[in-house]
Amino acid sequence: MLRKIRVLVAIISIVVLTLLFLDFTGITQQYCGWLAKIQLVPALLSLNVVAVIFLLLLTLLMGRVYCSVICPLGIIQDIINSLRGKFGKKKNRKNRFNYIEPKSWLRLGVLVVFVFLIVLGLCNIISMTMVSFIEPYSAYGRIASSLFAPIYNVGNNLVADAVADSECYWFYDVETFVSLHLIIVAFVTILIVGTMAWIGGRIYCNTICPVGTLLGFFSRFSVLKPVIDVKKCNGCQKCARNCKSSCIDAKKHVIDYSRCVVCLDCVNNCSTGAISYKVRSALKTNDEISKHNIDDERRNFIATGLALATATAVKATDKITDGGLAKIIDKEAPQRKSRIVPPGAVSLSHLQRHCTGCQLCISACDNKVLFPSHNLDTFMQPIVQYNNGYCRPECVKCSDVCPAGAFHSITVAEKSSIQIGRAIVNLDACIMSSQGKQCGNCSRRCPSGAIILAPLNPEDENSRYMPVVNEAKCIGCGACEYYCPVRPLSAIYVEGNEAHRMI
Amino acid sequence: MDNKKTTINRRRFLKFIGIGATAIAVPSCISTSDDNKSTKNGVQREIKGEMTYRENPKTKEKVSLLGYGCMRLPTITNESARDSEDMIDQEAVNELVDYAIKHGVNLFDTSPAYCKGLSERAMGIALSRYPRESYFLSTKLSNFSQSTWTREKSIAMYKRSFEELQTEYIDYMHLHGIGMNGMEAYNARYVDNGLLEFLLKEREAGRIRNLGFSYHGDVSVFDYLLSRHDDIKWDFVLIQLNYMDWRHAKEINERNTNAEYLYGELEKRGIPVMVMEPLLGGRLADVNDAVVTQMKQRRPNDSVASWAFRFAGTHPGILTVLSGMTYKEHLHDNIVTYSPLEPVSVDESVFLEKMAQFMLKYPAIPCTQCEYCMPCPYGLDIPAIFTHYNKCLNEGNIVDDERDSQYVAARRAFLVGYDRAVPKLRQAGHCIACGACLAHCPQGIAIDKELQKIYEYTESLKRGHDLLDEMKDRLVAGNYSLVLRAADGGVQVFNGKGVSDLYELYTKTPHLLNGAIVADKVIGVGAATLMALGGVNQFYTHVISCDAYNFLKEKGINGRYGEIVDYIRNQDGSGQCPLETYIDGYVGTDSILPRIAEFVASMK
Repeated sequence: MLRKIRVLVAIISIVVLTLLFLDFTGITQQYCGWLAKIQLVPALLSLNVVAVIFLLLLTLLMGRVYCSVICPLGIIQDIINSLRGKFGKKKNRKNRFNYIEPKSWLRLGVLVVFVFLIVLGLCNIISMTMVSFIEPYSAYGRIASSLFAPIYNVGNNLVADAVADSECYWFYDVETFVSLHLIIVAFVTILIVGTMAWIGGRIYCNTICPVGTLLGFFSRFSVLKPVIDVKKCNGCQKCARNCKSSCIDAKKHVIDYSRCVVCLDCVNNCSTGAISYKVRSALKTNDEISKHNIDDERRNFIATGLALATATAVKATDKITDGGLAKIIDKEAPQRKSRIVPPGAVSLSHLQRHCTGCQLCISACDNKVLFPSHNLDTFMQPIVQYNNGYCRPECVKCSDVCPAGAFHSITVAEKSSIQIGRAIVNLDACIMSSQGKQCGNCSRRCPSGAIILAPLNPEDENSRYMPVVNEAKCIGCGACEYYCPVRPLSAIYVEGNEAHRMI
Repeated sequence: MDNKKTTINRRRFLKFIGIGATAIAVPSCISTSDDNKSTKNGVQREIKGEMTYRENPKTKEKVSLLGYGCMRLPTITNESARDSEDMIDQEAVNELVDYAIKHGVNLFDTSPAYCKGLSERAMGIALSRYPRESYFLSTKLSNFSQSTWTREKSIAMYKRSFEELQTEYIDYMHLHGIGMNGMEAYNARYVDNGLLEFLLKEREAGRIRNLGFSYHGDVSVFDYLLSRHDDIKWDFVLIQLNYMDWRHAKEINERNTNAEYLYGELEKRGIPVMVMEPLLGGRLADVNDAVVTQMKQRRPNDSVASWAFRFAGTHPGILTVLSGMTYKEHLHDNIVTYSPLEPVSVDESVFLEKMAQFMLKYPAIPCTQCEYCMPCPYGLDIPAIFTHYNKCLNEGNIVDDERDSQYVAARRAFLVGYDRAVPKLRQAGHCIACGACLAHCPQGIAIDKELQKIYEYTESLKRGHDLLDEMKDRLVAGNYSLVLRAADGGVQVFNGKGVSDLYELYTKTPHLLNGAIVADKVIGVGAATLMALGGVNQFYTHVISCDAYNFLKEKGINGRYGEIVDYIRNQDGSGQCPLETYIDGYVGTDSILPRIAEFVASMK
């Protein structure tokens, strides 16, 4: 029964967490965004005290249930492993595990290195994303957003196309932009973690995952835990042979609670009812929330080296072909001296120090302006490009969804006065000032009225006009860059602010 | 941040609405007949009772509320003779006249100019089959052309009408088209050649039983002629009146004046009013589906045109409503509407005002998708954008009130449908207004402006409305003195002087002020006091005085202003506004209000 509840909660949890990355309507984020915010590492990074205390208390009460029902990477490992139980070689379908001695040195080592890297990251010495390769939630985020989301979107678009001629407006086409780098990172992650899970269940969680190790310190002292009743045990070892954490030493009737993820399979499997999930009589709860912990980084992917120009835009092809349509050249991103990051990020370094590259903001961005960075120091972190849209004034989704505190939550009103960059005009490229054509689109579309059209030569009545940016009003939203008719490089573009400021 | 952007062009924009609108004013009331057939039960409306008649106060004669306008008589090809080169179908005219007379219509209005000069003769033939006293003849002295301005030519034209109409006397004689080309034309046509005096003499002689004028255009001529009412004694005046022109004449055509004003001036002097253009050139019979739906929801069996006729007929000072009817179906439908007239209720007139505002704000774009405008050098898909917009308009998916129960669904249908119909990079926002397409459009659509309007509408859906901005636009567009948006979302506009509108609102319909948003040209302490007393929620004003601003702030009423000044100036700018002077030194709403009351009373 308890196991069934665990499985049910885990399924709901993974479905919702995955939907956070797939659902482009924002409904899931709106109602279930908290599920991302109680992920341990993001909660720590965002100093979300409530979530951290809740998770620690939960662990102290029930053991590492976090790893079984909250952590998406843990749940996906359970799914992969149970697939082996169903479809693997016959002999492996049951009793495929054995007790393994804890690899304490490795676990501690990884945790120590991890903490060390986080500290370096917070001090802005290295990028936080380097740390996050092994951070389970972000790792899963990348898998969901770059492997699952494109498939989901294709399915959605098929449905949308099917109903396009009807009066049904519940489905609509979405554009999918995928980054090859991220696909590689996500693919390698799922390959390695998946292989480990297929072979040995929770190996990743109990040898590498720093979150697992950290929670392990607390779960030793949990109030509720699976307990073996030696009197009832007939020594069949069924529990140990089916423990995906390989943490039951059946001969000694000992369970390593630092590794147990409270899946309760053992309780279910025990034919004599010797194992039960209950309050252990002798409990010592000395919880000094000392330091968080240990360990080493896993792989420094060279994938970054692949010099792939820009995000490969897999764009839905234009559906209307009247024959009368002019071809539109795709926009190219300008060479910005300083990159643009969304409002709420406070500054380039704040984002760099806090973002674990989980891709949730990028998935949530309706305006298609957020992309994962390819630079080594900001790898996988979001940056803004205005090729396909601009940062619309009414949207603050990225700041709402961020679980790691890399974006501070802002209101729409606040957004309208946060300057994330300034528009810069290239008069030589501007068709209005260089060719004397009628345009002024930058000025017309600017939501903050920051662009004025001024005569190039005030003496001349028939003078050409030039766009002039009033930097005091410009918020760097990129409407001008997006709507500029000059292609592929816009004649007006936004240069990012290193630190955002209120205007 | 001051989000002015979306609204910058609203004013310019309203001008071209007029252009777009005229273009769709297709042959008059073709849809009327369709409406009749497509009523709920699929049965043509039956005539329920007797025609409503109005009394001419001078002659005490009873004139049918429906007057037969004879500028669109049918031709042998079954078209309107106004738009066709073909001959008038006399037999059809006779039949129409028979039908009209049989059902109580007793006034026929024509002119020497109508139907290429053939209307009078056709009517003469048709009507002379009846005893002369059984109908009223109305015709005009249509000496527009400079070649007819001499006394001789004009009188010849006048005499000819008698021959054509086969009559000894004219019941209603109009000075035709007063106001067109201003005072100059009026003087040249009627004063300098002594024609007005001639006509007055003819009236004394009884050959003209009622003398009046038909008014178009320059309001100063209208005001001038009314100022001479005491010596001329106008027996009637013909004006353009319908639920659009009632309060939005300027938004349709800058030349025109609100019917509410014209009617008010005439009613004040007790001059009977004849109405023309009750359907605004057919536009009010051919409205978009969203409006049709709402009208049918209220009165399933009534035609769309009947709403316009009921509106026109409801005002008690109306003598008759002229309608140019080519087809028997129109005639029948209009007879039904007035047999008898069911006056428009207060609730219904609010509804019609709402419809008028909606139609003005969102007229359909007359794009036929000929694609002459394409390819747009910047890649826009112009016909697809217009088609989507029109489709949404027709399906009732253009909704501008967020409190509308349909708002969410309509917003979704518009935005999702937009992305479906037009790829993002080909949507209206990418129009740079280069104007390359303009010359190619056979419909003369102001493509760049329409695209800007659609862009703005899309933005308003995405960003949400800024009500204050919208109110400001209204105030500017109609050159009103006051625009009020009541708490229930209903918008009303006013043109009164000074604080008179606010005072009337406060004293007569305080519920409208409570929680309302008010856009007022000028706010001084007087207006601020009334707003505070009335419980106004927000304000916009072009000019506000320091004292008024501080006062409103104190009362927790926020808003925006164009300019803040030390004191409000009077009209010629020579000193302080008289009301402000009158209440100067009085503090507190209790002591100011009676002063305002006195002042308003003294203004009257």
